[in-house]
Amino acid sequence: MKRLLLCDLKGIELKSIFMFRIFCISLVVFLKISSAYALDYTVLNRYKNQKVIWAFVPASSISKVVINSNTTLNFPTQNPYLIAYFKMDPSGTLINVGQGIYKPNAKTIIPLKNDNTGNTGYLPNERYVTLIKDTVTQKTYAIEFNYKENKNFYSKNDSSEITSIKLAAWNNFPKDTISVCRNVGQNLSYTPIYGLGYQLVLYNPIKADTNTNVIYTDTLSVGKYRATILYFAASYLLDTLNFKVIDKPSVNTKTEVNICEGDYYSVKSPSIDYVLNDKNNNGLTLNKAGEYFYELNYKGYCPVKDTIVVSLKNCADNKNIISPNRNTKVSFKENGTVKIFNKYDQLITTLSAPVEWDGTDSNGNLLAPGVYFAVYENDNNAIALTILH
Amino acid sequence: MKKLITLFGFIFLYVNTWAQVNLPEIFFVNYQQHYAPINPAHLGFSESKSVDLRYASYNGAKKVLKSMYADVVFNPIDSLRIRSGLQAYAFHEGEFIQYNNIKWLNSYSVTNQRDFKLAFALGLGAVNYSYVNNVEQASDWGFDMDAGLWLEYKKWNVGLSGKHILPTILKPIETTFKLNQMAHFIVRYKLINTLNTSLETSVHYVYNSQVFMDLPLSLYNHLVYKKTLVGICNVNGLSLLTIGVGFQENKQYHLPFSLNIAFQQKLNDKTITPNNRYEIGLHKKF
Repeated sequence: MKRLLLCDLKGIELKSIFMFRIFCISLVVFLKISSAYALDYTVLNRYKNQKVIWAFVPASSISKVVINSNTTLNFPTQNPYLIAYFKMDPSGTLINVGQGIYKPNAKTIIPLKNDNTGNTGYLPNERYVTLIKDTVTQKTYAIEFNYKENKNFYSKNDSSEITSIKLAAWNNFPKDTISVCRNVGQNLSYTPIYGLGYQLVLYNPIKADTNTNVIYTDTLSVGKYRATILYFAASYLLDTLNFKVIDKPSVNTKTEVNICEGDYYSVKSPSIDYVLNDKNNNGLTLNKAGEYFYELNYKGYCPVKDTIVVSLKNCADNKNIISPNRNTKVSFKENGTVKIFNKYDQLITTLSAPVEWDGTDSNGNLLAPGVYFAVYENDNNAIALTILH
Repeated sequence: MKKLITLFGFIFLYVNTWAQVNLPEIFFVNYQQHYAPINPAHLGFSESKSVDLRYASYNGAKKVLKSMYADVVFNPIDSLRIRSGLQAYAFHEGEFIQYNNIKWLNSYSVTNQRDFKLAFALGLGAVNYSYVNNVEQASDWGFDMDAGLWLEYKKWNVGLSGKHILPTILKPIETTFKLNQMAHFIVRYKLINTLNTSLETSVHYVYNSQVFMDLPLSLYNHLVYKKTLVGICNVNGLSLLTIGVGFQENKQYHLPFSLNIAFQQKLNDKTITPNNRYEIGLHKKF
């Protein structure tokens, strides 16, 4: 009996073991089928017009996921419930350009549940923003979307839904090197959209210099720099700006000038072309009192803009200044012979008065700036004249 | 005394014969027998420490030309052979143009024997032209250099120097100023050297790269009586006569510094009159 029972028991045990094996095999087959089936459920939506694909990737050890018959995605990570974004180039190739989900207006990164233990993550039903960087054009875009989640990510019928999507250009820096002027308040700042936190890192040609949100160019010396925009924590390079800091030219300017009537004032500096206009842009009219605006432009320098207030004075007693290139002359009204000497007592020219002397020698050559002396023949009273250009 | 009378008679005999231009930039260099303004090598023959100040201007129309000069001589390493100095010069050409020059001078004596001394020197510094008191104020700086050689042999002194030997061009605004390159050659001879009287006479030749001079020669005479009273009589190109008086620093007479006042008159003035120049100099030894 005991042996029968034993046999029976053995038979029962054998049967049970057999059934258990059958159960286990079935379970494995089921799980494998389920897993394989989940692979086909990867593409949730596709925005044809915007060439942006929203992909929802389940936990899987498989790194290749078929989206459609023409495209294969290569995911850089095998973390469960990785949210990834893709840019499709004109040839249809999808490029992984970033990862992470950011909540708008919160300045914080919403973490995914991502503890590598097989626990599933979640996305609350909210509006989200993420970034896409075009690896070809190096332009960064922000995508804003509303996310609606179903209960079970593993279900074939699960349908995470993107209810809206907006493609917005990021505040991209220009690709070429730009020039920034010192001491004119031309600071560089990076305005974040959606309140996203970022880090602006400034480099000079040698090493990293400062971390700041604004580059105050007044504190920089003249030279070439590079600034990069990084996301906090993610260290995700958003953009790069190459710029050079240039300076104002050294010009001798005055805000108020008092000139002789008939004369004019100009803002000058060596080799600098200048444009001088009044407030009505009527050109050079600085023989009249008034307020004038000028702008100096010179290659390699910042433009200089300023205002000059011109007032006139009576120069009747100031006629001993000759400015040949301003057509200012000295009049000798009384009849006689006038001799002009330089400071070394050398005779420069002889004039027959009445005459207006324009600061030239007997050959018509313009004399160098300096003091000259005029004296009527047979008169001991010399007059000092100054030639200014 | 006969020699003195003969000398002055010789000078006045030829006073009105040649024309000469007046260089307002240079001083009557025999003041205090301190030649540093035209030859930095003479530092090696100066006192180990001294201060020299000079001012010159004109009467009449040329009063707008003013020259100011200052130098400090010292012995930086307590050596008999080496002298250093700091030299500053300013020239106001009228109300609007100003020329400034500052230099560091170094002189080295090759030999330092009693009857034979030879020194050479370099002066390095900066020069500046400025427009001042004008609606358009402007200024430009450049490098400047002087070099000099000075020889003393018994009663003879010979100095050769070059001023502004660099081809510096300054351009305040669009105006170009090129420095006057000058060379000075001086031969000095001690005519009389008695207990009460000392008389030295010098011939000074000036070359100026930009100003043509008919006769760029000057004759200097420097008389010292009882090591205190000073009289000078200079003839510049035999057309400018300079008469000066002063006293020398002398502790015996409680004179803490030397002072000279000189007056220059153009004798055969065919150009501008009046054209009288005056100069004041002060010298202090330490």
